[in-house]
Amino acid sequence: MSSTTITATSPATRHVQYDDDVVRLFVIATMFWGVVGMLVGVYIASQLVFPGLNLGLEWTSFGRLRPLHTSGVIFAFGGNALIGTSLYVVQRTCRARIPGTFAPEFLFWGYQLFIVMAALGYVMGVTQGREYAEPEWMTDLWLAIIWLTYGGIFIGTLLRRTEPHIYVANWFYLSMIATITVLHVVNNLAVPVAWNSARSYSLFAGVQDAMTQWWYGHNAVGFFLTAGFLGIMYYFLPKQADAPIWSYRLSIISFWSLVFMYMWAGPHHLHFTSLPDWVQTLGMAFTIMLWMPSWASTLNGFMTVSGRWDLLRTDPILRFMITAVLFYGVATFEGPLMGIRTVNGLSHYTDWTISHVHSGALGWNGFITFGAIYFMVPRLWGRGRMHSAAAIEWHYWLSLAGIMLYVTAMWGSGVLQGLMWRAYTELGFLRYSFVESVVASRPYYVIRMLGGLLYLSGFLVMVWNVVRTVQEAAPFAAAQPAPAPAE
Amino acid sequence: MTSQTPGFPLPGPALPDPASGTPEVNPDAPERHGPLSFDGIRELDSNPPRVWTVFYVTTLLASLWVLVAYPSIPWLSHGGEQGRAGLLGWSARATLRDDAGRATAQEPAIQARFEQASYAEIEADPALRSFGIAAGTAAFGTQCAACHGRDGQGQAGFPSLRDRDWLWGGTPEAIERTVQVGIRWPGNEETRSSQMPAFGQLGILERPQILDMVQYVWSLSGTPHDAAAAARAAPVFAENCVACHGERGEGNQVVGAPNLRDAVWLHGGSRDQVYQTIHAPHSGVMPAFGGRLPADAIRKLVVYVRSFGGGE
Repeated sequence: MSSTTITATSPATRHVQYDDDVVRLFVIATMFWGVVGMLVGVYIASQLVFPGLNLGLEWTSFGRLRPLHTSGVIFAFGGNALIGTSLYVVQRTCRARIPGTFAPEFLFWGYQLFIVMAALGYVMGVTQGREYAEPEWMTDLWLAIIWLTYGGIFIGTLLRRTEPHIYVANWFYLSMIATITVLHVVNNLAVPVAWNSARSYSLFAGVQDAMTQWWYGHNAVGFFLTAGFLGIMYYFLPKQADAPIWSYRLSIISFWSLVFMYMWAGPHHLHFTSLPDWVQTLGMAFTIMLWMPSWASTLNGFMTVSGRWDLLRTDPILRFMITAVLFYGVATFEGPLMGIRTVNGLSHYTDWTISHVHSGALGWNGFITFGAIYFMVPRLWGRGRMHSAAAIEWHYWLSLAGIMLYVTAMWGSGVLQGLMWRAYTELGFLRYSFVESVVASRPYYVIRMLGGLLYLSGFLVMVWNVVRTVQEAAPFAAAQPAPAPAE
Repeated sequence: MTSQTPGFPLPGPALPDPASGTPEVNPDAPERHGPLSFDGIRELDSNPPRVWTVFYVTTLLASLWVLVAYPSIPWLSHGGEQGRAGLLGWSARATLRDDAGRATAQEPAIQARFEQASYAEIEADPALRSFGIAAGTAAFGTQCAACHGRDGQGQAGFPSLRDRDWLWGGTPEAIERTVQVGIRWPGNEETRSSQMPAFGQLGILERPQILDMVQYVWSLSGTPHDAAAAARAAPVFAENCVACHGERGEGNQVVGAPNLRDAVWLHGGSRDQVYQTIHAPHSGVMPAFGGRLPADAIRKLVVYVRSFGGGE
């Protein structure tokens, strides 16, 4: 880490050496966990077509591998991407180095340990059964320590900034850090059965427990997968397009509306349950409110590139980012729609939900991450460009084809299931049994599996491209001037 | 600033071509921070598009309307038995009550006739029978199909309901009884129950004896077999098996003992499978639906199952 010290002390000529060592680690981890998470996704998608693939073993059954997939892509792939990009962005937009030398490394390895602990737990059946918060109490405690370390590093960088203002990307990252802290702590309040037991009981019971869980689940989407990734967009999109952010005003409106309204919308995950009517209504009302604040950032992204659309023909990295913004717009239009009670009556518990999260996860989170990593890798490893431009094109079109197959197939099966489950005969009997809707869904599951396979293939092309770029690079540290001797 | 950024990856930034049409970036938009930029990123301060602002205000108003029209305030929504609140007087509970009431009111007149009729009367009356089948189809798909198959075809270990081989009886009354109390179902005291001994595992029969017995069992249904081995097993069969399976292997529905003469094999008819069944038999379990489904629904299920054509 000796190459990453501050080399000048006079404020007027101050040159800041950023700590990119840890960012490089996070980029590598993002690529690694991306392969794991997507591979498991393709595998469980195949299990739904060929049930024999569960191998008759508890450790490889769908129920245990599904959280491995969801956490693998959200917290391992997405989380490493978020932390890595945020440390890259906050240093550059604050013109300040992240504090400490041990803390960033502790953050990195501690976060990987959390992922491994969680993953082992899922496969061995250690789970508290809360969606996206499956790890048991000891893993939760560890994550709390890691997350506070992350917060300390990020806020420490903001405090020592040499820019007068805090750039908008950092607001979004900061809202993620603050909110995830609260969500993680409250949703995981639990009493362990014993200090040496991996089991615990939630502090909440019944419908309060369900509401706490979906307050968490909804806002994990809102602040991890939305706000955090908007932070990525607000830095890397204007950088890649070499264009100014279109509207600071819209950034402000978008940020504060999103932060305020998102918090309340969790109950729309519990329509038609024993949750009291008034809570359901409240959640639905705030869901409708969320429509336009979400689109404010979509607009800001599009208008930033506006006037430079020709770049989309020639710059696949920018194309990744703009397509991500497009999917963000589509998913945040669809989300509030599905949160309306009557629409939810058709969509809930069907594959429509799966389609919705994957247009968000594959299209928005995935594509903006790909764009950011393609932007960072040549810079982090001191290369002028990625090894292969053609490979980026291949990655783009393979992924896009994969998303299209995946999302449309799940729309198809989702609406089909919703309609079959509510179909009645003239005599008033249910027309279809559940098993008939399963049989009817199978062709769509085949298409979904192929879509996932295409998306994974595209990602493997990217991994190859990144590895080749790094391999060919002259070591970055060697290109640096020797650090000034310490006083 | 850092010095680590050599070059720009892939095609360099292009400026908008003024000849290609109206530039969409408003050149007059004031910059937020004047000369400030963050790592080279500048920020304009354009006004949000009017259409966006209109939509934003519209959704805010729509949300407000939802909050007023539907119950959204805790202490108002708990009032009264009706549980209605909000301008529209809507509540989930009342909606369910209304829907259920309407369904009952619209219940076809044939329902009453069905409840009164005996199985014989139902099966003789095409209208009643098709009513029962329509209802039974729905219940069967939900309650029975997971084990017995979507069309009652069964699967390994789970009997087909389409053939004439009935373990516990195929008359309407017998089927109804089986559905009511289940088979070896721990949750029902009257459940149908029987247990074939594990002849091999318990050491009652030796391995060669069981191998011979497989040939004898095959002989009962006319399956190609080793006649000498079957002859050796005949006295063993008479001693150990006839009590339940009958002298000629015809089975006994009172104790759920399968007919061995029909070449219908619940647990498979290969040599190894028959051997396994004699050595340590499977004893399948079927839940009792008596507490789970209304008696009327079970009767409809029976009519549907009988419509497969396999009844007695």
